[in-house]
Amino acid sequence: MADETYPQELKYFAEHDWVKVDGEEAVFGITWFAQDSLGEIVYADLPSAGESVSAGTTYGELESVKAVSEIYAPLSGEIVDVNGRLEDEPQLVNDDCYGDGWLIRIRMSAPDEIDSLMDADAYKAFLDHE
Amino acid sequence: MSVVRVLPFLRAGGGAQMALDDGLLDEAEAVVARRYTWAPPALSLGKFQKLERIPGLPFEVVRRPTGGRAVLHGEAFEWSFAVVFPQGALGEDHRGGVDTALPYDLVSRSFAAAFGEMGVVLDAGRETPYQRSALCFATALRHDLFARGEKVAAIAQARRGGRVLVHGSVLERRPPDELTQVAETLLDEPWQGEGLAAAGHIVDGEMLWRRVLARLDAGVRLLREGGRLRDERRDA
Repeated sequence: MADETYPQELKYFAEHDWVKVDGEEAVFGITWFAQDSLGEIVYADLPSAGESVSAGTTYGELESVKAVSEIYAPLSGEIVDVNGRLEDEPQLVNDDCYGDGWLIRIRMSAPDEIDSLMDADAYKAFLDHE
Repeated sequence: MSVVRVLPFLRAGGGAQMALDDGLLDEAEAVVARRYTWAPPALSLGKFQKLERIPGLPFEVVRRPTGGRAVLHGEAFEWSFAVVFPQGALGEDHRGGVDTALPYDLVSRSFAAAFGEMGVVLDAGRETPYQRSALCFATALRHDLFARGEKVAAIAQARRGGRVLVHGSVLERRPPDELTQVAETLLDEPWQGEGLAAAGHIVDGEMLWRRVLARLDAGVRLLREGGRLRDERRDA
């Protein structure tokens, strides 16, 4: 597991998800803090491409050695891709949470929702304040 | 007055038991705890555990809302418990509003203290790498409790909508062979799980549970006041 880090180029959601905006699309994953809190991820239950997600609602679950936990969508849109590697290698979420451990990619339906997300400094302050 | 709402002991089938715990995970507004036994016997699977269904089994197969691996349940050899914590039940000062370890710690330490009060000497805490065993009692995670090398209490957790459900199973003795043999066939691995009896203990479940509840209540109060849990196995 890498050291605690929150890349500046990403946006963050209060449920401990990160967002990488890529044109009209956005990639979701969970933050270093989230994967560290959950412990070793042993199963990722993710939706399929073509399904829709809504900001602030759950779209899947992660099972770790500590808990089965819901995952929340930071933005709304249609899922265009799902990280299929997690089916056989769920621990990628721990090993590389901002890279190979990404969860889903969506085509945004309400891009202005990005404005409600935190930048890295705000997220770090959120973690320390809570 | 206790801050833990205690539900009556319930003897019922696995479907009803899991439906009740699922409902508590969705609805509980206070810390709720309950103890129960499974009648008829059942095999519970972790939420995402895969298993090919075979007709004509001598027990029900049900799925838990919590994670983990398969557990055989039955009133002749095992009892179960559930503790549900609504958001903020253990104080609000946890980093990021999330502390997956704290509910586990509280329940596990409450059981450890209660076992100690009843003369059961637990092994020092152990944690092995997550084993891909299909059997819960063949694995050793940080909050599980062991006596003389035998896993005597298994604990799992689910988090949903800000609430946390901590599930657990206390194995009093090895399940009957007619159940373990079918479980071995289903799960394709030899049975592991001898319980308290193999560690030399016969423990009254209701008496143990009452002591656990007292510890839980004290722990919730302590955490709400900003205190920290004490690990009696390490801090003594």
